Amino acid sequence: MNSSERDVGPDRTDRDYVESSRNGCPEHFRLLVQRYQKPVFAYLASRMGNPLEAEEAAQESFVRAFLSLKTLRKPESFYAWLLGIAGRVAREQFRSAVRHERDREAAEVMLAEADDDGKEYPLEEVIAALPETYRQVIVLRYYEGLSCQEVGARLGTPLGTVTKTLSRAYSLLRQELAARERAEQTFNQANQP
Amino acid sequence: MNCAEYRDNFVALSEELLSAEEKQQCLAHLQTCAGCRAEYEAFTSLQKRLVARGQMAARTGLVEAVMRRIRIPQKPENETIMSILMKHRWGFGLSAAAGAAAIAVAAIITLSPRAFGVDQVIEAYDHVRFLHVKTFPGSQKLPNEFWIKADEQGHVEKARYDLPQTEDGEKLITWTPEKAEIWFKSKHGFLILQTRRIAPMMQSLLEQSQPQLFMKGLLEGQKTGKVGLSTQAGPGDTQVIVATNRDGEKTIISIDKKTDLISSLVFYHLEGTNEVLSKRTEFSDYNVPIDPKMFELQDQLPADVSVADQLNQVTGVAQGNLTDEQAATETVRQFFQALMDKDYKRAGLIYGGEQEKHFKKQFGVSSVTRIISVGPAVLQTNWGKRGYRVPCKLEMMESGGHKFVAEPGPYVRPGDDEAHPDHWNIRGGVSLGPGGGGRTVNTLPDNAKYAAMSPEQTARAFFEACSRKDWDEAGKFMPYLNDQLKEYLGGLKIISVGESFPPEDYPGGLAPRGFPGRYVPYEIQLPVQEFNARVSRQNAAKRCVLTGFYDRKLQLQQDFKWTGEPEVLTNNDAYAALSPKEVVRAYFDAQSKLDWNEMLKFTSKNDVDTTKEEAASAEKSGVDIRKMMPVFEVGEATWSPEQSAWFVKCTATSTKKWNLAVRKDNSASRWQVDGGI
Repeated sequence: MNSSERDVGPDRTDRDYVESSRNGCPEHFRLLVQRYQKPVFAYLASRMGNPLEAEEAAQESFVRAFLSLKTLRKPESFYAWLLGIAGRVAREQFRSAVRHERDREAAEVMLAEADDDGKEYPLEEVIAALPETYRQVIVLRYYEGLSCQEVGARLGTPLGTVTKTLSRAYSLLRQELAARERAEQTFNQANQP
Repeated sequence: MNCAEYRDNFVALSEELLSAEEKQQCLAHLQTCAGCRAEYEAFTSLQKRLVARGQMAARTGLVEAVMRRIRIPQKPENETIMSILMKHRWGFGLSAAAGAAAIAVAAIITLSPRAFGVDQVIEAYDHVRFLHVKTFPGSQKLPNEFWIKADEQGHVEKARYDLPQTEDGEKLITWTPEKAEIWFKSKHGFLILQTRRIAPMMQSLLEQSQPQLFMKGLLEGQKTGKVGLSTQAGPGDTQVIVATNRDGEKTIISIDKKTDLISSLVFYHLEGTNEVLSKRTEFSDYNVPIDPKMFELQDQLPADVSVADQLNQVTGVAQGNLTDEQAATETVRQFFQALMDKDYKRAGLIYGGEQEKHFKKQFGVSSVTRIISVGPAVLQTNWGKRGYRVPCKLEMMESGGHKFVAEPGPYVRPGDDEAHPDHWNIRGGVSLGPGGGGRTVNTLPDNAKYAAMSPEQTARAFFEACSRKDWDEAGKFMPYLNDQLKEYLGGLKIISVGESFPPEDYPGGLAPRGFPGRYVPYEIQLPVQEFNARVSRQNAAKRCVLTGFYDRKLQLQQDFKWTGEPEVLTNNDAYAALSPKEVVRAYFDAQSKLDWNEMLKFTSKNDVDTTKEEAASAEKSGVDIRKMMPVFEVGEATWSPEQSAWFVKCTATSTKKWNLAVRKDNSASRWQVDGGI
């Protein structure tokens, strides 16, 4: 295995890449982009409703993340932190569109679309909150589109372990999503007139 | 299996990864367990959502776009390169600091608003657009100065530079891709041409000023282990990065913390174990617009400057099928033929495009009546490019009808004009006085007055002009009077000017063989010179020694060129106890007594040898060097953290008794100072 192959595999943790990126190997940031570009895009596309804008916002989110990498206190929480940045970027773009009178219409469309599709974006947020072992298999299996066998090969783990880990990840995701829904319902009820 | 174990198999079940038997077991359990059945339904529903999310993002490819963006300079964020460097310095050590710098270099550093002063135009600038640079080559007293204007892409668009000390005397140069102008200020010449050679030099200077470009090379060197980097706080708002390569060459990069821009680069190399200053470069006036007039020299030219235009005309003689030697000889032959024909326009064209009127003035006094011989051409190996000297013999006639033989040896080279590199031009050595001399001295409006002066009167008039600092007047006696000499001689007092004597009478036979002039003995009191002695204790013997002399502005004047460590003396402790100031005083005492062994305790062998040679040479010339020794006063010592050395202020009051060399073999027939200062 040559060094580039070794670097490409997700066998290193987010923490490894964050630390090497800020300690003299900015190229390692590439591996973090590779790892999370799709979930971040999916998240933003759901929030913003427009794939083109989502792509721009995703780029911007990664660039901002890179520039402020040094402020990240828990490198193992890189993805959650990155989604936080993405959320801010999405809000900024929304506000910016609203601010410009000529874009008001576009903003309204964006809002409407966001209302329609927006319910899915918490999925990425919940994935971000998973422990890294679970998050890794979910991202590889569904966002990278790898089969369970391929995920096993990438992580160097047996197929049985991959499927079990994925099953447990589902379970955790489901619990977390259910908890959020309950919280949301409580919030809505409390705010009804 | 219990429920939890069955639930662990949900993914394997849905993806058909179970054996037939396991699958059967699982399905049977789901049939009977309502909890697991509900859980499985929820699982498949979530699975579908996730698959949909993945499909939505399947075509996303952001990697290259993001990496491209983080490699190019971004708008400044709140941090500066230094805050990052310092943070990581404490957090992660030096390699991490360099790493952080790499990130900053790749991504953050660009010009801060303060560098421009106009916030709203920041985004228009990714690069330095205007820059002023001073370089101080190690042995040079006056700086070379550069003004550079770049376009939005960071390419040099215009440049102007002033070189006070070159072998051609003071030179001013302006450059654009279309036109370069070179004003040979000391030689009263002006050349217009087109050249591409200047652009890479200016580009390099411009890029040195930009941390993201300059640091990149160093960081790459660090990665491969060729360069070691360390950071340290500098004076005031300066941050210092020290880069050392494997050869011990050191670069000290000072960065202005307010602007994140490089303010200076100081280069050192090793001689033995000593660090010797090679060059210092100072960057200033970042993006302070430069007056467009700075890039135009032609308007500022005095009337008597001889202009050579190689841009708007083809100059020189075409090489055709001739060999280089033949082309050189033919060029010279055609030049003198043109003079013989009084075709000054043609002569000027062969002489690199000089103006007809200039040639008429210079060569119209006497005329070439016959070309006796031209060549053979002698290859000149000391030039950067090929060139020849072509010795000639010409029969000349003065206006009074007197005939004489001139033996000039013009220098010939292919054109500098890059559009016509196949044309050979004469580059000098065409003086046609008796014996030839290769120098050009302008004929003054009141030339007769000066031409009537004796060598003694000339020497006195020259020194008097120097004492009044009347440099125009002094320049009439010494065309190559540069700023260094002006500082040395300005305000002198004449003690005596003696009777001139011929070279053959020079004491010790030290005059150059065949020198076509005379010597005037003189004694002058030189103005008080202020300078600094650099004293270092960083050596194996742990005692203070001198490493060089610096001028008032701490520019290196004389490097003592240590090639080894100072010797550990038998009574080393006594010497080690001396303060820097005491050491400098002891050095001057030893020198004034010509006590070389004592002097060697405070300075390098090289310095002692040089002083010894000067003393021997003076003695041979009949001068008592003890009487010539300046009176030195030693002032306070200041510690320089940047140089890790002491600088001790000194003054020297000295008289000089020497022989001024003067010669008259020029077309203006005036005695000219040629040496002996």
